[in-house]
Amino acid sequence: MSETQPIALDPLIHEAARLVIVSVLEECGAASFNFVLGTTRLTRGNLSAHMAKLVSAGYVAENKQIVDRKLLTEYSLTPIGRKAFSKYRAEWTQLTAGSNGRST
Amino acid sequence: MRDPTTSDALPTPDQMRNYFAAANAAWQTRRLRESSRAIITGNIAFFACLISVVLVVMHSDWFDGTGPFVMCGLMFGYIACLLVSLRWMKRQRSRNSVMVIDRRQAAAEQAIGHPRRVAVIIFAFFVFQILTMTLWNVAFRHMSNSAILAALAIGPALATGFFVYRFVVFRFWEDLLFAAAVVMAYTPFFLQDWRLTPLSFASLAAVVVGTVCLHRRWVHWARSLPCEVTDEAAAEEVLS
Repeated sequence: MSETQPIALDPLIHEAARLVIVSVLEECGAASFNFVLGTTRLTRGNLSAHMAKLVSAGYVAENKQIVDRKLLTEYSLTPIGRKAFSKYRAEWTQLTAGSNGRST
Repeated sequence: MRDPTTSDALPTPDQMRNYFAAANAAWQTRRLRESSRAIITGNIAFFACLISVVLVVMHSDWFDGTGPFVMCGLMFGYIACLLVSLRWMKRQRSRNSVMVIDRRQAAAEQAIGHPRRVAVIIFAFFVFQILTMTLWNVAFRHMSNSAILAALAIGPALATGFFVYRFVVFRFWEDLLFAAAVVMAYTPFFLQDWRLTPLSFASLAAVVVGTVCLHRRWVHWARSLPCEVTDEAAAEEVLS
């Protein structure tokens, strides 16, 4: 039996909250902070902290603008983020397909 | 238990749960995104129905001499409603702190930043329109009535298919209503039964009802959020 390469899931995306955030952003061109807050059901602080990590990794682009003297923060996945997420999904599929194969 | 981030170990039940929670959030996002752009979907459905209503008005005996006026009223009314509704949607979005746009819209907004690209797109659209009209004019002279009817059926068939596809993907009953409205709108023309003319007009009302219901889904969800959080202090800081 040949030795297979271990699957290395991206730890930045693999974390539960960040996985939800990236999945939500992957479906949008751009979304406001409040939209992501409503769909992910995270707390404000939690979401801000995870977003900061994704922004610093270059996976998410942040755009702040002032509308009617209110700060509106928009987030969108960068091409790097989209690529990383599609790689993550492919690897996850590979991993779970492996588990199906082993369980039968 | 080994960590699947660094090995080929099986995912743990927790990790499986996380993955499905993310997939569920993505599904909810897709539905919310579509309900937030109900005005655009409604306008597409309205346009598909309006073409048939114009065909019906042109041929029906319900409008003796007033047909062209009704037709012009419908077309200009539609253009006015389209502009007003899009402007209203834009204002709603800019006022609301809960906002989502799809990838095509984000790409379109980026393209607007390049006037040359916009000019090329508008030019290509007009060239396409002129070519289509010219080719149809030539083709209609050599086609039988049944062939013309079959050719005209392509548009409504595509529109109906589009809305049924949307229903399958997003599970909004409003999409089925739009599909039914397109069928209703074309029925008098294809059956050549002008007693059914009101059915064609009823399709326009059905589209308006569907659009309102679809938009209300978005409004309900946005209002169901705990409270609209604004960052006025941060905004003041940036402004100063």
